[in-house]
Amino acid sequence: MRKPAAIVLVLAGVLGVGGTAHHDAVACGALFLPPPESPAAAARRAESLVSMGFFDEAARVVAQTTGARFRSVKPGALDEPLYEVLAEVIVRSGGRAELGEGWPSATDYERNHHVAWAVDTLEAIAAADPSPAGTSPRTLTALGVGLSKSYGREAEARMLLEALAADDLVTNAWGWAALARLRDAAGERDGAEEARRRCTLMTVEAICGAAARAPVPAAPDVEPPRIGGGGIGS
Amino acid sequence: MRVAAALVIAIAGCAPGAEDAPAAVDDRAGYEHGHELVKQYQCGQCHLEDASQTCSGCHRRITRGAEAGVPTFVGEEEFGVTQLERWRQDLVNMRELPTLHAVGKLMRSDWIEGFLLEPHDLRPRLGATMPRLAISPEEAHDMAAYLAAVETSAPYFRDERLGAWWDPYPPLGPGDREHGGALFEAQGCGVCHRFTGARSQPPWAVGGNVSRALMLAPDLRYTRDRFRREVLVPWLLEPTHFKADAAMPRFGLDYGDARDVAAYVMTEPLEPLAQRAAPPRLPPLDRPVGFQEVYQKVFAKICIHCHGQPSLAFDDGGPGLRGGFGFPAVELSFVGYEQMLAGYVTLDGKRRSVFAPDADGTPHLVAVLLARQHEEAGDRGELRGMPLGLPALQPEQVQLIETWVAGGHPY
Repeated sequence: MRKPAAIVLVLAGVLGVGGTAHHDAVACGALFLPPPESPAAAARRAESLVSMGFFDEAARVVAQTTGARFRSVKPGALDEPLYEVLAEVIVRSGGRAELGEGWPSATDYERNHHVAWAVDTLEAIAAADPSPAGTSPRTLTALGVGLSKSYGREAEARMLLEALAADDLVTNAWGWAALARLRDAAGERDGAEEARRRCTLMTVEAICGAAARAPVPAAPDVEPPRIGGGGIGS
Repeated sequence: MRVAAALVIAIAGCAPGAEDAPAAVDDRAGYEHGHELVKQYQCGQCHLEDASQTCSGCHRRITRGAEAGVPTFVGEEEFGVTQLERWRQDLVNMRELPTLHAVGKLMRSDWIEGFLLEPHDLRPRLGATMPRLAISPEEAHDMAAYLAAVETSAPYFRDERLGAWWDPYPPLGPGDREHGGALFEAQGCGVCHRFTGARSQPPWAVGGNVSRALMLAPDLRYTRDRFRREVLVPWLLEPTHFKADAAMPRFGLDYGDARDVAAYVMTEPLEPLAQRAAPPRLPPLDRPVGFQEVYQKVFAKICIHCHGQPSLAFDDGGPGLRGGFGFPAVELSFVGYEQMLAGYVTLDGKRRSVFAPDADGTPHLVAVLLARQHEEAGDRGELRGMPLGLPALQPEQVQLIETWVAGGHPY
């Protein structure tokens, strides 16, 4: 199968737009209303989309499931995997994913704001992780990516991602791409190349080359916020 | 349970000097501890087929869901009929599993104890085997004591003649082993049973539709150690009197014939078990292998059952993720690429990559797969083989995974 066709088919499957209706769909006249998706099922579907780089679609799944609830982060809600998926979407896309109404991402300020929210969320999730072995490398990789895109926190990102890399526990290409960029910034060409090599093994996305060589994030501009009431983190 | 324990004590007390009388359960604490351990080690996952939230219960619903009297598979609402039908076609292992009904009536406590500590392939056709659990000798003793005390009461015989024959501890006389061997062959016992090491190995049926009886038929090599000697003859006469769900059919033997068959099974000289070799380790393929191929051919078919598909394991991710069968949670998930790259938690509580090399340099993921092949060949090393209690992967499947790992485990 040719790649574009394969991608369309995979995406169609994950998005649930196949030719057959769910057998539990409710017939309402000629209209079929699918039953609401459980948060766990939505999270799994969104995770699949994130892993394939379909950030906008993943964000839409989260938005459809949570409605406006994710606009405010409450510690008690952090066990919902949807929050982590949303944070993943944001850090991987650098805050560019179309997050829906109330989540504008047209400016650097807005994108940085989203990334900051995602980093806060991931840090809270990491702190709440009950595993005896500490936080899951998936969460830590996402946090490392987020920190690498947060002004002034590159050193933290480097430390985190290097520790994961030493144990071969960087869980996705975005993590290796971020590490390549950080090593590049430190002038470690060989290390950066190795990170890029690991990155390219993990993804067909064009994130390992050009994006990995992108400059470290600039200081956030001082553009006044465009986010209205109920914005992220409010 | 107290009644059962009391009966064991009573029966044992009434049969002084009986050769294979079950051990009296005079250690109440041990018995209770054994009961707790049976729950802790989740014996019911495989041995309780009528429970919905178990491995065996789920597989039974998949395979027999359409049969009358079997509840509809609970997952049908979530997964849909098409998915279920696909599972029915694909499902190979754990279609049938032995229940623990009447285990105390039939099995020797010392054998149960040894089997828990050193499990081996008892039922050659079954595929699944008793897993290597992390059971201490003391725990095995208490579990065996508990299991041996379950349902130990004398069977109720509807047939008065059989009831009159019933003697809890009849001496197993010498019988006529040669006649028993001839009967064994004439009755076709070898169609279901292997008798490894016996001089005249009965023909073993191959192929065709493997019935429940064939799947569950034990290798008779172990019967002399496994069975309570005093119940073998009555068992041969009326299996369902001991175990309502017995797969063993009633052959209509008379007492004398049954005793001769028992003499053959219990006293036939056996050759030592032949040494088996683990399958060859194939060299890596000369083509690239990606995650999707490995996932579809191995991980999604086998590994995710225990390692992290919550929707398949009653929302707990399975024993390989959240802990089970007495093992702590290792948090290893095979549901996707990124989940797998997150590694697992070692016994000392540290996170480790599944690709990290073990002491001999073999990547851990590959090492556990090879360990399972060696376990099947009778070589039990320190490393517990995977998949736990299921047939080892074929050499070609291991080769595929080794190639993928050697290539940097790409997506």
